[in-house]
Amino acid sequence: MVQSYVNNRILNYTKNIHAGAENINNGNTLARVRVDDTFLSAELEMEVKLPELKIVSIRGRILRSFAEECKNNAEILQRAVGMRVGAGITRLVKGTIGGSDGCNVFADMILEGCNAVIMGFTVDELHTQLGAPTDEGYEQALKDMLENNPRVASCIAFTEGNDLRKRLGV
Amino acid sequence: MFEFTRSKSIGVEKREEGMFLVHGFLDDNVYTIELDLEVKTPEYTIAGAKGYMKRYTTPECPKAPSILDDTVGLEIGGADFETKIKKLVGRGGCRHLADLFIECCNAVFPAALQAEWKNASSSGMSKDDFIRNMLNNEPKLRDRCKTYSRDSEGVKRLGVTW
Repeated sequence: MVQSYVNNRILNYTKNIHAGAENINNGNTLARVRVDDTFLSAELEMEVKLPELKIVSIRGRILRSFAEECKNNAEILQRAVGMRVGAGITRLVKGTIGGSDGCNVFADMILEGCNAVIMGFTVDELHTQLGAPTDEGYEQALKDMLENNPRVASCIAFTEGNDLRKRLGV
Repeated sequence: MFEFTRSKSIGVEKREEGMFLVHGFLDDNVYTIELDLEVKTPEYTIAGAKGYMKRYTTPECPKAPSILDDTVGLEIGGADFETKIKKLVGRGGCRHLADLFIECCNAVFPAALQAEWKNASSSGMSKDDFIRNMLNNEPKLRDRCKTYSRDSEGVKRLGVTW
């Protein structure tokens, strides 16, 4: 009975994803993604040229997989060279890298890398906007962000008429 | 200094027959988010979802998980599932919470597969036979990717046709 209880609590499946982006010496950005789950382990590196946000080089490999054939699919990644990290990238990557002639794991990893690049810019922006040392400064920064940002209705913080907007008089 | 890192960690357990519990954790330079999801099988519908915004950017962000109640009853998978979640949980709440939600949902099918593989391998079934059965019994897996496409060497070797 005790053994049965322990078996039930052992996780059926685990997945860990790590994505990062950083500046490199030539002025471009390098994104790195690593995925490890119960069935698969894979890694990917892609260089994004700034300010065009174009993928200029990419490489990756599947280190462990349930079906051995998956390890031979790395050349699929080269289809991403020239793609621009911006609007429409999700559909483009899923259609070009994923699908019946592609690899959905690599497609998801590329999108994770693109997100890391975009979030890298967001972090810089947030440091500037929300890094105010006083409460008054922070409130003013929030107000500026809501007033000047075009992302209306993109999430709960940017919803028209929410408590924050009312309180700040936006 | 341009620098960003994000980690996402997902764990799935089968607490009882017909119910998977999924625990998700997202941590990056800006956000820390946790999610607990209950998925009912064999329907693969959301039976419960609770989220926790632990680190965020605005005072509105902690309210985002309340939108998760609206996901109860949704069937996971399907062509427009991600779009639906991005709109409902992302736009209505938080797009990073939506990202974690989709990741947690995507973990349920592999978890179900792992449970099947565990039973099959313990009764002596080979990996090739398991994949052959999977392709014969789960039409959704056919042509899902290059490895499981009708033209792949592996599928031909296993003698599966469709």
